[in-house]
Amino acid sequence: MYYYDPITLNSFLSELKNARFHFTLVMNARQKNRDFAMKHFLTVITIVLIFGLTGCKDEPPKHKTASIHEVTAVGSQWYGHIPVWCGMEKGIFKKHGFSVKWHFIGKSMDRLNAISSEEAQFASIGEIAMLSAMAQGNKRFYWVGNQDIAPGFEGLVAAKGIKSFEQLKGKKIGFPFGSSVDLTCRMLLKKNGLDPIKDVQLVNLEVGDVPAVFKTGNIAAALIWEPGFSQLKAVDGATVLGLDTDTDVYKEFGTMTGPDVLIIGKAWTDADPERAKNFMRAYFESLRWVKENTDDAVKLVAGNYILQDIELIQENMAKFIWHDIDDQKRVMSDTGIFGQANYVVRILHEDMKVIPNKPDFMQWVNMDILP
Amino acid sequence: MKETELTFWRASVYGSLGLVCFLGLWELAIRFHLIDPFFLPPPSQIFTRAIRMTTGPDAVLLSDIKISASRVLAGFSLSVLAGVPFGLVMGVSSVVRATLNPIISIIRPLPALSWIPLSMLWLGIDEQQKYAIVFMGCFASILVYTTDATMRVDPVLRRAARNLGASDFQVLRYVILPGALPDLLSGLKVVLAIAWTCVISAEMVGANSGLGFRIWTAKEWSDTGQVLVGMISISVTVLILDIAFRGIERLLLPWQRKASGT
Repeated sequence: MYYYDPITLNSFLSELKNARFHFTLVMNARQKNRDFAMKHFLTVITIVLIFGLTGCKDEPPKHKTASIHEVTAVGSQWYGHIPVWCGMEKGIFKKHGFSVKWHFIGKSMDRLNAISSEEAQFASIGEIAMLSAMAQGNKRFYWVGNQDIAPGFEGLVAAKGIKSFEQLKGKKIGFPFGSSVDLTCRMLLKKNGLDPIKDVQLVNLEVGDVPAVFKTGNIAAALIWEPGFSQLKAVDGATVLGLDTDTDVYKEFGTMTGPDVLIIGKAWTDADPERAKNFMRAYFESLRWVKENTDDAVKLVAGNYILQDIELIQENMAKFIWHDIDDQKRVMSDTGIFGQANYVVRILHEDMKVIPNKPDFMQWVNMDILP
Repeated sequence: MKETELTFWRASVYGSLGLVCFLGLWELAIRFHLIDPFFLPPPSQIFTRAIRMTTGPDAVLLSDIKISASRVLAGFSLSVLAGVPFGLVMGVSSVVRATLNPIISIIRPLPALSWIPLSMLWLGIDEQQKYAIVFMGCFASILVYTTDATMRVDPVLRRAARNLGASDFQVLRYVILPGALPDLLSGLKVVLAIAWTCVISAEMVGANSGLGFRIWTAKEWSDTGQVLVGMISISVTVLILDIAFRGIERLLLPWQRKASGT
């Protein structure tokens, strides 16, 4: 049987009453604070609105004028982006009514994702990433061109003491997965009697990390394109075991394993095809300027967009073949890049098994927007 | 409104219902073209993908889970071994606390990801580097949790033990450690989940195995289905580890089990 102590209960109730009283006081104080905060909040909002409205009166927003279209282009330090940089610097895009913003995104697939999200509108990317996205059913972009061919700009570089493919057995090879060098690496290994899965360890590295990791000796060999490729070759004792020009893709089609392609946002294009056409006109005008003024273009990009010695850029640019607007019909054909793409798709799907199907990439090709 | 305590089974039924509804809505949203399957594949596709990655010749999922889990456990165990004793000392000694606090305050906010460039230079891309990333992501948090748990032990109990003639070690062993253990274990549970985020970051660069590697590689090939399989695998593995941790908690804190009547 339970008994309660009346004194304890009374004191408990009294405490409870006090607590309730305190609660009321606290709640009143909170309400007062809330009223005070709301009053000040409204005052601040009013001031901001007044300043905002009067501030905008004298100076209309530049980007809202009817003739200027904002375009976000994404890319890396690779030479294939030079036409965009020169177009921006030389005012070619502006002349055609475009204000182009440049964003650095190192990997092709990340650039393609930026286009897919509709945050960016234009990019040059590697063909491998584009074909992979197509195989996965990404229909948010158009394939509109192939602006260059640059074989010999990427290859497999082995560390000091390794002089043959045979010596790579059981060792680590680092490169960015899902890029052109992924295909170059696997093709070179196979050609030289090594199984890419069983005989070596392939390590996924970020584009910018490849030279540093190779220098520290953590991998036996590495692959990357320019400007990283020159950094790999410059490492003490490094040997170039193979280039993309040693692959069957080059021998068959005369291109690197994953050539540069131009893609443009589908929604942005469909919303105003004429605007997209004008943009491509500006882009190819810029490309022609680069082709005709290579030395000036090199001076313009060296140190600003490509962090390499100007002599090295000049040397590399001399080997670069640009495809301008007149070349597009020829290169964007079955005897050109489409034939090569069919070949690569087969390798990706059947040999490497990294894409679930062989996409009909013609569904993405849009040559109508080329001027 | 009167809050009623649900039985375990009833709570499980509600939980399962919620999950089924969520998955059903997700599947329907894609079937009715409300969401582009490239951006978010339907659960049925993810399930098929998971099966393909678990069985058959290309089965890699289980070995990836094993590899990532072993990296987490190695890095986490190392940080417990270093962080708990340090934390106990910092909790009982104000001099040590004052000396080390500025250093801990500098290290603590650094995300595991920020250690990757340096760790690659210092340790390469082998297993040690992955352990180091997990260690750096967990150590400072464990240290802080242990210090706080130690400081929360009732000082009256400490003084009482001392008055009864207990040595420093006895106070630590019989008063501080059991007193701090509940808070410490709760903290470790939180840090274990953090350890997973660290290992995923570590495996995204310079790796050729593990769940982080699998997710990152899938991203390079635009394979969102595989990305989601990897993400779900992390959640399931953390859930299983959490249950295991609760078992350890019950084992180490028998007095709490008695108090809750379970």
